[in-house]
Amino acid sequence: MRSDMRLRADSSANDITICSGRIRRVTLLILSVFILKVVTSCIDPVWDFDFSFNKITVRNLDNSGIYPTETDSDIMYAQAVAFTVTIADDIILASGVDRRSNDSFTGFTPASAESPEPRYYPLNRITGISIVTLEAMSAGIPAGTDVTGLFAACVSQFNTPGFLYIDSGELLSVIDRDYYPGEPSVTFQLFCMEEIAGNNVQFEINITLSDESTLSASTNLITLIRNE
Amino acid sequence: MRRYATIMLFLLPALAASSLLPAQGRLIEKKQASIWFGVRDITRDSLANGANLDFLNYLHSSDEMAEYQYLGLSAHLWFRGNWEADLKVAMYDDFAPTSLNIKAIWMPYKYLGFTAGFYSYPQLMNEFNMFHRISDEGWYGDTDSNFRQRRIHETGIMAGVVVPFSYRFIHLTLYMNGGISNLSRFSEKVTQKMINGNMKREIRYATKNSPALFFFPEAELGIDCCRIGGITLGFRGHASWYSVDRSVDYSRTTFEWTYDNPEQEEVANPAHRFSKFEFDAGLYLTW
Repeated sequence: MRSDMRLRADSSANDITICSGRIRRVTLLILSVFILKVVTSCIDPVWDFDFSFNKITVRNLDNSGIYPTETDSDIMYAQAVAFTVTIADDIILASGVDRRSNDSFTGFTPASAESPEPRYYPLNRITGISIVTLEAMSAGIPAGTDVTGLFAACVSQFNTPGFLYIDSGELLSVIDRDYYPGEPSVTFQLFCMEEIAGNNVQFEINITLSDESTLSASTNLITLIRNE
Repeated sequence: MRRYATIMLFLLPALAASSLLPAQGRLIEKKQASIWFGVRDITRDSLANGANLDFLNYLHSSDEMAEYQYLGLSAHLWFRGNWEADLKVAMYDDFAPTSLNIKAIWMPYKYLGFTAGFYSYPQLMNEFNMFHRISDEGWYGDTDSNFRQRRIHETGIMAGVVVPFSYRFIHLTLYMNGGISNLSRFSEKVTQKMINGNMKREIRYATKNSPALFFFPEAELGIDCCRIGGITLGFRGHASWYSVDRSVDYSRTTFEWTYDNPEQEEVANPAHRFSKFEFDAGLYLTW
């Protein structure tokens, strides 16, 4: 009776030993996979893309309030003529474009708490901006005049400047960049500093690029109203 | 200023309670520590708006009695050789010990002495951007929609005479102080945009030193209530009046459209009469 009890006790002890050995091996296996995953994920994530500016879009701004808002209306106050201009690559789709480089040595997805922001490198740099009026702004400014100097600008995408605008002469140095974070485009706002004498106004905005191409867009014909 | 005040807050009770300075006939002959609660009422000129922003029009003041309430601690030390020191620290509900009234007192006569000291207290300046909102028609006077408030400190040095009087358990002390004080300098910015227009401008103010003479009489009443061992417990009351004529001048820089080519002006404002009345009451221990 006593020997039976001892046999049963030994059998239980063996089962526990086998069981704990299996747990240890499974845990080690999971840990190894996890460490392998972590090690292979520790790469410098590269999200660089090349792109070309090939599209320009101009939209009207309602700047009668404190902050400008985009509007579909073609009516503006004579002292608040403003537009927003976007230059972009219309073709690029981030998901379908190969990365500029990929240093990862495995097929693992880089691990990160936050996805890295892609950088878009322009193949054609912005070299010039000009604004030409298509309507006479006043007796001294007939249609066809280059009125770039009559505009101030704001590039909120790059947090410049503070509350005030930048001179249109400084605009080029702000929007011509080595790369554009987040999206293959740059948007800036143009604000006419001159009170326009006529009842209508229309502008053509020309962007010259380093590949000697030019992107042009005209604003809609804007009807001007005056403060009472 | 705040750091200095904090040091004083800890120094006061430490000095008063120090056993290293025995009260029996050596350096400090008698000590008093007090705690009190007080109110401060501000009366100031509000001049009509002119061409320039006058910051003193916007010092916090209301028709109600007592714009500010404060908690205070003080110590009064009687040194050997007719010298005394009076140190008062007060704080608003933020418990920052920013109000200071520190005096050294020399008593060559029983009923007449001389004082010299330092005085500082903070006050609020509210909604000074209202000047632009009211005056600048056709503009969003200040695009900053936040409540504009600034704390400024009036700091000065003073001297005067003191007349103490004691009868049995009643102690009355009159101080006649005068001195020169300065309002702390500050910078402010107002951003504006034309209504229905593109034009923007930014106006930056930088105030200058504004020294002015002030008159500051005080009256202090103490009533001994009971005595336990060598310690006397009493009630105290203190009232003061502070009067000054001051103007705040500044330089104003105006940027239009861009941050290039600012216009700079020096602005001199008219003097304002300003006064404050304080009353506080509390308890003291003397030993």
